[in-house]
Amino acid sequence: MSDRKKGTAKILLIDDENAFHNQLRFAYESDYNFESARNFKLALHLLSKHDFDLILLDLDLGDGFENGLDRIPLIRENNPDIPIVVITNDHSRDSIVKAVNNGANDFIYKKEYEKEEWKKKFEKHLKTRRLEQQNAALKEENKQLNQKLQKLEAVPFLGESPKIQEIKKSLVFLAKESEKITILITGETGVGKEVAARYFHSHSLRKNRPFQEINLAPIQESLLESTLFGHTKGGFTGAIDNRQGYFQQANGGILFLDEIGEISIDLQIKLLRFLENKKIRAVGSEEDIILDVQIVAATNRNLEEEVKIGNFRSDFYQRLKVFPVEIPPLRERKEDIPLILEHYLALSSRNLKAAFSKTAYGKILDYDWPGNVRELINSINYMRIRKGINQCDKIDESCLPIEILDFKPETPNLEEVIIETLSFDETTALTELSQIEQALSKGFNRKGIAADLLNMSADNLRYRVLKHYGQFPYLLDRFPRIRKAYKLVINQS
Amino acid sequence: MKMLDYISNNQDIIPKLEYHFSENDTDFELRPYDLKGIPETENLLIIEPFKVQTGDYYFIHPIWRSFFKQNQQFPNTTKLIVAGFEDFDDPNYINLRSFPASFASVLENAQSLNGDWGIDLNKYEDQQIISRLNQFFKGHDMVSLFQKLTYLDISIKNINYTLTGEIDKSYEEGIEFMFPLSKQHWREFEIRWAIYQPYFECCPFSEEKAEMEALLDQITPFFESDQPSSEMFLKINCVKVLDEIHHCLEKMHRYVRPEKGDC
Repeated sequence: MSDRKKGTAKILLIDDENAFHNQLRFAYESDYNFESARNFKLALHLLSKHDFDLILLDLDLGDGFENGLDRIPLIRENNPDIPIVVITNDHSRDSIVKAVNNGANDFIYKKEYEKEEWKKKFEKHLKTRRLEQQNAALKEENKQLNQKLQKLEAVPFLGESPKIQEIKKSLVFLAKESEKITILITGETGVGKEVAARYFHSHSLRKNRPFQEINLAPIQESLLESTLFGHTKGGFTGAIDNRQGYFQQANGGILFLDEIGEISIDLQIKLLRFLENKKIRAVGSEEDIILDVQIVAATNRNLEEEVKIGNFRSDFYQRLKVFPVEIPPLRERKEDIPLILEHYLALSSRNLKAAFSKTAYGKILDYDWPGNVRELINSINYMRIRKGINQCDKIDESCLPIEILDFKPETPNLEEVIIETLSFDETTALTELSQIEQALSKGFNRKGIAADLLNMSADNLRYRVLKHYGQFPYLLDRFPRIRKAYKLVINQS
Repeated sequence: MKMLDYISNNQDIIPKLEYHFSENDTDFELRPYDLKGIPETENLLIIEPFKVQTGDYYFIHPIWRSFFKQNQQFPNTTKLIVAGFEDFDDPNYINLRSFPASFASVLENAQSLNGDWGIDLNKYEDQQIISRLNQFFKGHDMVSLFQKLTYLDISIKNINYTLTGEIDKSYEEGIEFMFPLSKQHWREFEIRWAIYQPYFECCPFSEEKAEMEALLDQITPFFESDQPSSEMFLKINCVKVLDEIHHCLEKMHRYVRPEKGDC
């Protein structure tokens, strides 16, 4: 078998006439790579071993045209995309139609051999094949890019803190476990409830089906029902045509109902009906529609409290909280802040600290983030712009939003401690240990980060801790982070 | 008096028919049909079986009926009457053993070329000239005549492409690669043509036969040569000649393919 000439198409010629193989090679060997099969068994073997760009198939391999026609689907079975041009001397329209119906792409008459005409025909199909291959490659590339994009999407579910890891694991498990389970995501505003819902969708059995989201809070009460369930023409004043609602648009997929705590009791009843028997009814219609929609709901309200005060139906709440997921506020998982900064500033972890002044970085970590991740993202955009305007090398205090700049974290009240009768050395040790404790707090209990924040080496920090521990071990009783970080035991005796 | 053309080479029957039409049934004048000229005829009497050069006898009327039907030059009113020694029951058939007194009444009852008649020759498949001619085209070795010609066609065209530059090889390479097997195929074709010549004599192919012979005379020197030159190839215009041979044979083949109602 000849090696494939680079860039030339590979053609499989299936014909029982030896002479024809020689004739085609003579005519076209500078244009194409030919492989020959004089019987069908050999042809199938070659097809299983090699990639071909075109197949020329003689309909009569010495056993009649009908057998030839039957061979086309056998080739097609494992080679759906390779164009097949049948070669025949049978001019009957019927044979050609049958051949094409069986999967052939084209035909040529042997006795009407004209080198250039045949070449044009080959090229037509080879070009189509090339385009289809390019198209397939582009689609695959697109798919991979989309997958990458999903990972790098505008609002990815970032977080490596233990709490977020736990939530992600749970969401992935639930996503793969069942298409029917209802999820309720709770948490403060801006923690990433929508992000978590999309994360769930991206891992779910419904990931290739629609994800529809709707924020229920801003929609007027009177329009909410038709927005969700659709309406028929004339269903209410102003309904000039039939309109599908979000439920129908999400059919087969997932519907994310954000701010579920804001809806009326009446709508809760209708949603409960859907959760119970999968039916909705468009406004103005007299017929129920059965739909296949998985519900993910979210709220920043405490629904248990809402139930107690009568704003939320207990039965609906029970239905929703089949599997509740609470996303903690950002202040409770500050170890995720560097990750979020890296992502939105497109920085590696190595370059992250170099992108900020120490003070600015410290302030970002100190800040309480009442607006959670959303506030952090907005602040990152603000800082990036300010850096540009101020023409700074790094993000420094001048780039910080005022609320971050002015924020003062709570610190242990040293004055209360110093009221006790302590020697000067004890007081000095206490002060230093207090600073180290704070640094550990800011640095997520990491000694290296704490050392950086204190402007000393990790070895030096260790030395100072152990020195104070050695001299005044009882003082360490007030500093749990230091004890944990350096594995220090206080003798109670 | 009407003309009655006839096809027969039965030297026993012809005199008897001539006597009959001159003495008994004087409405018609018997005239041998010009097998070379294939002139227009109103009434044609075919006497079967027809003896060919090989000494065998064949039923020949189906090929004539096919020919007349497919050629517009012959009016639909032409009547084809078959005469023989079998006991066929057909409006267009006369049993020679009981020749009718009035041929006019035979003509009156006979159907036209496209009419509803058809002598049942199923028992005589090997004795039909059409079967012989089919064999000529189909061949015994699973390779039909047209397949052989197609092979020759492609080879000759490839050789021609070396001269036109469409194939980037020399003429000599073309001859080396394509010629030996072409020579063999040509020889087989020639032999087959020669063997089947007797069967063409009684068929309406005189024009095509003459054309074929002229074409064969033209191209044979090329295939008989051991190393034909490119000048010879171009002078003979092998591509065109082969193409014309193909057309000529196709014309004949048109009449030979069995049609409904013929046999």
